[in-house]
Amino acid sequence: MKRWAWAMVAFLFCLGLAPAWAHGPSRQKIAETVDINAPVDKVWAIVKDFDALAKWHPGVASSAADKGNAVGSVRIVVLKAPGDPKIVEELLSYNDAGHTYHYGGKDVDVKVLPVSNYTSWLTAGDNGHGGSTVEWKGAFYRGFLNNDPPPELNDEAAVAAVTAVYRAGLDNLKKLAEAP
Amino acid sequence: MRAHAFLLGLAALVAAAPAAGRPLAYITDQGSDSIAVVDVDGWKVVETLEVGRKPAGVAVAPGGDRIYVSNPEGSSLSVVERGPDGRHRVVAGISVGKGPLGVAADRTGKLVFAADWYADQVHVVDAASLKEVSSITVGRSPSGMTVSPDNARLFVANRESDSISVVDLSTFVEIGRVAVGKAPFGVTYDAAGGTDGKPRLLVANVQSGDVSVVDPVALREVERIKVRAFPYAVAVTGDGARILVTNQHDDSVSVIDGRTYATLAVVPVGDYPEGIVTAPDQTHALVACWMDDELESIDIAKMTVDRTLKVGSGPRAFGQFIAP
Repeated sequence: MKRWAWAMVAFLFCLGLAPAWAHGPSRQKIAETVDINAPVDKVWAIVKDFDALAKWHPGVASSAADKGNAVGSVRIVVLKAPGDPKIVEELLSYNDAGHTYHYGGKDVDVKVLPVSNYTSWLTAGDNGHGGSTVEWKGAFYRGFLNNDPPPELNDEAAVAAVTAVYRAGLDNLKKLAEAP
Repeated sequence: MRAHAFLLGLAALVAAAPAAGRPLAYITDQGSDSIAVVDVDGWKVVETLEVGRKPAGVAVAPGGDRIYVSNPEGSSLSVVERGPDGRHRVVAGISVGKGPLGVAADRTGKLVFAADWYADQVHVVDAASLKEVSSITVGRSPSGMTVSPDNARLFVANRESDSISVVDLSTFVEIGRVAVGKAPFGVTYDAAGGTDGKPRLLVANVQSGDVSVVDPVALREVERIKVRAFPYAVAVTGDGARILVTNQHDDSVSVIDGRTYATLAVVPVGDYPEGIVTAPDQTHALVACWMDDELESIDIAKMTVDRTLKVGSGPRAFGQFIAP
């Protein structure tokens, strides 16, 4: 997952798409969605537990949480990458009936994920056609919080990395939920 | 978003200018490099103006005819004026420091202050000449600012120093520093005060999740109010009876009794609420919800959201963003 993210950054640079406005930090946001041909209850059952990330995200080896789905629960996400890099995340809000939760990074090395102070929302909704739509959205700053960031820690790198994480998870979730 | 801003711009050309005397809100849309001018009573965006890069801070000067917008990534302030016809235009863009974020006008309209996030300074700009006339060294990563009603003091929240700098506006020198909670960001001056009738500063401490109440004369913290995760900015009604705090990571606004400091309600709002002010009639508060690209209106008596309005991308509205 990490290597994929870096590869994307390199790819963007090769295309000359990295714009030159990399000055002071302003918060970035992205939202990725996936349409799934499965009822929302089935999809929610897969993703609803804060400690279940490893069961549906292909880049995650384990994701144990200390207080389940209680606000304040802290999970340790170990990535499938050399050296078993990990990130620590905390559950900020949880709404079972609304099929949504909000969590944030608590202890994250920018070498693992080139972002700072991120929070994310995962939300499953009925798409009105018998299936569901899952949205994963996030707010974050780039990894380098001062002026003139190195390219691997600028706004584009942060956006590319988080997009890659969300996309990989959502696409795999679709496969899992649509499996017969 | 470009197309969106463009359409709004077209709409502004054909829409009638709001009548004088109607409150207007100026919302910095950081992702759109623009500000939205909102007719609060009519509850619609009436104009969209391109400003500098990644606008965040905003301050309406006394009288409401001039609006200052900070562009942290453009290292500049945009100066917006409201003409006699009610239309707005950007009349100047001036280079200010490295990363101006917080912005405040003094009570006379003669000076503008811009807090430089990177340089740990507040730049002082003369409103008539639009030249920088002084700079004040403060704590680390200065952010929110407010000026005392007698125009004698400027208070600056130093996010990375966990303090409020107190600046003498006759000399532009920091004369004191008050320790508050962890990572203070927004600071608001309340002239009405609490039960003792003394004025107070209300400071949102992002990382300690609370609000510091500071005596602006004795220069000490007198109370600490627990709120939800990542409080960002504070609004207060003119009579001091209600304090409203945006909780950025809780997607809510805490409504607090201004006398007892009890939390009366935690109102769910859009995601990532940031700037908040009370409307001139004091019945509503306006909240910019960054993640949802919305301005929301809270009925203060009912403690519920009664209106939402789509604005540009990433509204911050950090500062005093409403004109009477």
